[in-house]
Amino acid sequence: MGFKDVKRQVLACLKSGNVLHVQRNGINVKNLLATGQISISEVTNIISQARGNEYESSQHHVINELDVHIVKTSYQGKGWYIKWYFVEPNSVFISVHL
Amino acid sequence: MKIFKVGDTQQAVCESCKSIENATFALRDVPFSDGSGIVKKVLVGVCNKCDEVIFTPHQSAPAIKKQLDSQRKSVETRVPAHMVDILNLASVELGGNTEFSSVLMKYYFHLLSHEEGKIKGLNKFLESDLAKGRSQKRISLKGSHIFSELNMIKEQSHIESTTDVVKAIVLKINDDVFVRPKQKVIKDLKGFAAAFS
Repeated sequence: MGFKDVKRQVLACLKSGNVLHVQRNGINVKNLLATGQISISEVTNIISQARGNEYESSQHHVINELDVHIVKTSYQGKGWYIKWYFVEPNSVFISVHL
Repeated sequence: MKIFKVGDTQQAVCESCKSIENATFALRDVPFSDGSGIVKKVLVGVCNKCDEVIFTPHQSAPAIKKQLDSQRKSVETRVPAHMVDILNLASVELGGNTEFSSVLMKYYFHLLSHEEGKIKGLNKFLESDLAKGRSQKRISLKGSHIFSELNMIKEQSHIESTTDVVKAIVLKINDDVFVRPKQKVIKDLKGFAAAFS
């Protein structure tokens, strides 16, 4: 799946609210979306403006057949790191931080 | 917004089970990863196989934020006495009273964390002679955004200590108001001071 399709899918999840946040060993205080420090609409804006060269994917470190999607982009002067995977019907966010 | 109920199920990776598992939504008391507190009775996804919390739905984010805010709503630091004098002098210069000094600090916390480029050079204030001195007075700042703004400033400026962030901001205020007066900033702040008084 190319970035265009990945982007379309994650934006659809953000719009519909099919959003989960990975938690291990407690609630990850560094995930700014999971902790409500930024909103869904802000993350939507950040991912919407990201370009293909700011995207990469890799294997999930536990489930090899699962793709993990990473966007490293600049938005309003700040660098953002956003990482997630898809398990239908959700986008499951691993990291959303500066 | 998709809303889940207690007892609903969704699938996600369980890292303990090393597989994609069904997880059932339940209310649990869950600690923060940095050990700073616990969110009580928050809706989470619990792995059906190992009973560990593996995710939170987005609908839990406001409850998590509320707990974070309640335990982190104040920023407390001890600074050299002249730092408090600078804040009080700047407040009076801008037309406010000494109580305006906390508004002044919160304005700068917001400005530096949200406006592009404003944070540049913040570190250099820590190299000045005014940054030195025994910490004898307390600065306490309260507000719902103050802690998250502090963290954003720390991330962007690479200043690690809360006290150093507060010192650098006080010295930036000194610079903007007294050393190299920035007329636009002063005009905005005089407006705030007038509204506050």
